[in-house]
Amino acid sequence: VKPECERYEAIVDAGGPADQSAADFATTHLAGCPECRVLEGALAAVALRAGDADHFPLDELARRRTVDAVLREARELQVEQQQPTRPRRWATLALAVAAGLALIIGAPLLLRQSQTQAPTPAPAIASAPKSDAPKVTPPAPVAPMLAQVRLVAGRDERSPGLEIAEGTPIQTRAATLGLTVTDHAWVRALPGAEFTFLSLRRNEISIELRSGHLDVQVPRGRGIDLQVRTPHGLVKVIGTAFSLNATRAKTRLAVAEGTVLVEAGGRQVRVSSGFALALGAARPSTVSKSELASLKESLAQEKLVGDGSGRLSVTAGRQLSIDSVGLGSAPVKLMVSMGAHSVTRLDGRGRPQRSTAEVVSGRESVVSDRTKTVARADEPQPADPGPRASPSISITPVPVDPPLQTATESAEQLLQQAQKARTQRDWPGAARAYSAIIEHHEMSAAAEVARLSLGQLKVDQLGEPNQGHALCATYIERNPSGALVAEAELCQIRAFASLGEHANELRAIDSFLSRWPTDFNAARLARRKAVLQPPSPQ
Amino acid sequence: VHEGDSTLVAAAARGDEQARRELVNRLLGRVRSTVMYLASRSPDVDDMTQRSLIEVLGACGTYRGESTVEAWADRITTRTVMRLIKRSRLSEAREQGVDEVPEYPEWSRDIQNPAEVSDQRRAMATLLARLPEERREAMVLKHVHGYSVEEIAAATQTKVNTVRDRLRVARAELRTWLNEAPDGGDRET
Repeated sequence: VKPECERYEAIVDAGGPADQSAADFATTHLAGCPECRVLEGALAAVALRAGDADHFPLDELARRRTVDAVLREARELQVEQQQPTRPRRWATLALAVAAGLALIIGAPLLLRQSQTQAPTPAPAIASAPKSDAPKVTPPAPVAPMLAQVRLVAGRDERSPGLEIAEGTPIQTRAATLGLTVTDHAWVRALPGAEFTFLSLRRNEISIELRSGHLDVQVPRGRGIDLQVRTPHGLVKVIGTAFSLNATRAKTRLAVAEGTVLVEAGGRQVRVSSGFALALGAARPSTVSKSELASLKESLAQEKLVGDGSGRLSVTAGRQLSIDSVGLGSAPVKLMVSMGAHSVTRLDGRGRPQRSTAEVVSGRESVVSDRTKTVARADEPQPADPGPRASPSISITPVPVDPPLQTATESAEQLLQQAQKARTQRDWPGAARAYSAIIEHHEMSAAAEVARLSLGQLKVDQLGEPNQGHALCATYIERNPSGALVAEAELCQIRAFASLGEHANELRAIDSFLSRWPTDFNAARLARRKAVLQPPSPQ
Repeated sequence: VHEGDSTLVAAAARGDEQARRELVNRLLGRVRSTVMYLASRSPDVDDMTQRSLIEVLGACGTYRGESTVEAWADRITTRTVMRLIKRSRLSEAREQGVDEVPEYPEWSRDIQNPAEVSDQRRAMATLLARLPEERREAMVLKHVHGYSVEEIAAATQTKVNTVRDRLRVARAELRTWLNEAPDGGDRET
């Protein structure tokens, strides 16, 4: 950092110039130092001013949900704080767990041995006498929470957003349901599952699985005690992901991540990642590689990760389209509205797989039901994504060719239309507005600005670098000393780069650097030039 | 004394549900913005926002009306988020993670277009996330919340010269990044 820049920063840190000479210095320095101007511009953008505090706005639904969640949690916290010390239900088991610690640690080892040895009963832990357990005062009732349906795949009367209270029996029949509790615990119920949330308390969730298949995922470090009771035993989560399949004869548990504690027939066994346990069967069993891989895949799935404002990152390995908009196969960042979207991806044989994604603000949303691969002839195929000019793609539906009232609209109104379209990333709409300005207000100054803006759009967003270059050339020709000539030349350089015309690009960079050697872009252009320039002969 | 704010916060402290809702609605955007600038790399931005707002509600009884409710909430939010960041070892993730600037905006203070300003803010949130925690905290307090160097020193229990040093080094880093193309080629121009 140059000494003058440091002096300028010191003035900023001091809260402004102390005297007239400092003020003069700051003004002069800022005018002549592009680096400081850039830094100042960037820092000014992040300043939270009164009335302008929403730099990353949420949509109305997400906003309402957040406010409701905050008020609900704050209320629960208040209730908890007003209660006498609330002992964890695990406290009653503490002595038993301590007594059997050695056996618990050895449990995975025993399970491993069971692969090669004769059937071995699961290690037993004697229950602690009840008289030794600390006397606890029953806690005051805490307001129950609700489980929320986040995803429905298949035919079902429930829809995403439905809230389910504790004690409500749930039968999935032909559909797969994805539910969240406390926004952190994720439960996926496959078709044919019958279960009930026995308890939906903050940080304490209890599920009764009567039959069928559940995948459960509880993140570590959230302090959530989740337990699933089946006809054959009780499975307690210690921060993990696992699946349970309950039938009349047995319950099969497979653990994908972390560890779970299983209680059955007065015994406790800790089952680690990569292992399975059959409750009600003769002996513990291990998970096959394919079962584990399938479980991990179903739990991990392809995720759409939102940042709270509808921007999503999709790690797509295959051709992917959302709401019939093709996105190609490369990782992309895109903008979608909150709510349900149809997702189609091509499988290894090129057949479209359809699924539904529920996009929820700030939370990961899971694409599911990937097994439905039947493609009917009348179903639309995913569109060819084609080349993309930008890694950001908006798939917010845009009306096709909306009517543009050009005859009566002023250049200013059309510019506003263009600005609005740009804000919504509606590039074709913005291009139409700019074209209308050029066509209907040819002699106005706005037409010149529109010409350059249209050129930039064509180069940067619309994949038409030839036309963009021509528009910029016209701008320069008509405004040889115009305020935006440098911008137009930069746009031409980008057009050459898009077209792969590196010799022309190099010449344009040389020309730019000779005319504006101190421009903010000069350093980057010089680096680009070094890349493009063939090494000189020794 | 900010009387209107004091009345609102006092009502919220008494448990008045309408006042609490009004307070959360009023502060949500600001708190979320602060969280984004302090922890844009975290997957728990919304969680941090909610926890910060819960902290604000829990601290209503301590509001004395000596500053605006926004400035008071800024302090609580910064403290909460920095605590959560340290707890979740975000600094380690910072060293290992990918930190592409999402968009490549023009860095000009003359930009008025909301979409471009939004791009600038997102890109700056990403660049701020590259800074070590202490420098990031100082930069956010100084340039996002408008604290003086002395106020930052008091809020972070650090010496004034240390704060100056953190700001100086952070800005030098930002200067370098702001003059770099994020993808090294495609956007050279």
